[in-house]
Amino acid sequence: MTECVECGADVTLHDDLEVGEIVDCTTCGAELEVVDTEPPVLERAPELEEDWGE
Amino acid sequence: MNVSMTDTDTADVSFEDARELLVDLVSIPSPSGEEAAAAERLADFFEAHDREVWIDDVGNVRAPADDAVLLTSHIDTVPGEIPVRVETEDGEEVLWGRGSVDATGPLAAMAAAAVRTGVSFVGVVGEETNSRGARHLVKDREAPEAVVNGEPSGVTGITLGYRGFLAGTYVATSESGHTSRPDPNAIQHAMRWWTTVEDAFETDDYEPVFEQVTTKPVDVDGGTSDDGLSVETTMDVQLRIPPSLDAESVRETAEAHLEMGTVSWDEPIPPVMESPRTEIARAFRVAIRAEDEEPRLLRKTGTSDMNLYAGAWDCPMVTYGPGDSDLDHAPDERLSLSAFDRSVAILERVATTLRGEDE
Repeated sequence: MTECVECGADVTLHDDLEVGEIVDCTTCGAELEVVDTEPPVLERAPELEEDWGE
Repeated sequence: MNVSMTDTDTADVSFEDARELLVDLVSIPSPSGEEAAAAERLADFFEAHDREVWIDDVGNVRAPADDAVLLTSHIDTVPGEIPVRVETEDGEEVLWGRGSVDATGPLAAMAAAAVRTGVSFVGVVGEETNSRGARHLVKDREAPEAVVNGEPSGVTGITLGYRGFLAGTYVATSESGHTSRPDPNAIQHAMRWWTTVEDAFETDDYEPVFEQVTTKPVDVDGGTSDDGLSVETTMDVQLRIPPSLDAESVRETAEAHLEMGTVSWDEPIPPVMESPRTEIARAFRVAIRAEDEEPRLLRKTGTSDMNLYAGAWDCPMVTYGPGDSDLDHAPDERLSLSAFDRSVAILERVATTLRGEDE
């Protein structure tokens, strides 16, 4: 269990959590990225940006 | 095909060797259709590192190995000569040359990473025109477990989506007559049709471009025929297709406004939008953070060979490569060599992860 960085609500995490995984805050819906697992650290996942060309 | 490999199937490639490959490939002109010399240099690189390699029927450089991930980018560039040189800008070495960004930088980075990690590699031809290399590849090869397509996303960018592409040619003919007559001629029919198509796909200003159909006439020719009996018009058009639509519905909308003339459509390229939650996207985020950078997720308004791979292969994929895509096709196309080095390190880390080895 750790806190959502957006709304502060508890976020339940599964046991085999991996760095880089994206999880959802079930309270505010924010997409959060696991940046560490020992102990679990969450950051807001990068948002999709628009770019030109190929 | 999933070839099991051991550590002996990997080979060391120094950053100097990788940079040498990059500079050599940028120095060899390789506009679409004239990729043979660059393909030979690329194949020599794999051969020199004891990797199986051949050039296939259409000119692609094929170096199969562990299919946990296929690294693939394009060999061809758009035309245009930019003198190849390394300059120092703001304390950084920068390589100038056609293709340095689109996409020889990603191509050379992937070749180095593929040799270092023992994963599959293909350099394809014809991406800048009709994607003949990628079209051949998807017919001639089974799906790998994952794909990294090479295009400039920047060292920290992971491209997940591209719009699709629909190109067509409008042709109309009308009888010639005095220009004082009120009846519209073929040129006016073409202009009217295209205006209605543009209006049909017009959206609100706040709509992201990626989610719009955008319309672009790219060539137009019209006038009185040689025999003086008719007025003819030919217009080449392109439409970009967002993932919310398919090519058929876009084509139907465009043709619904056709009163005179005909349109012949090329084979469409479908849009693609990959999830950021796949193992390959995760591996990239981890690898980019390991370089002390913040990963970015991108969706691009253009179209790439990833669209074709996504249409043919049921496996996760992203597009990645060093370089600023604002410099695609530009007269000042250039690539930071330190960015190139970092992209090699990131690709190596991703490939290692996907092979199931330590990150």
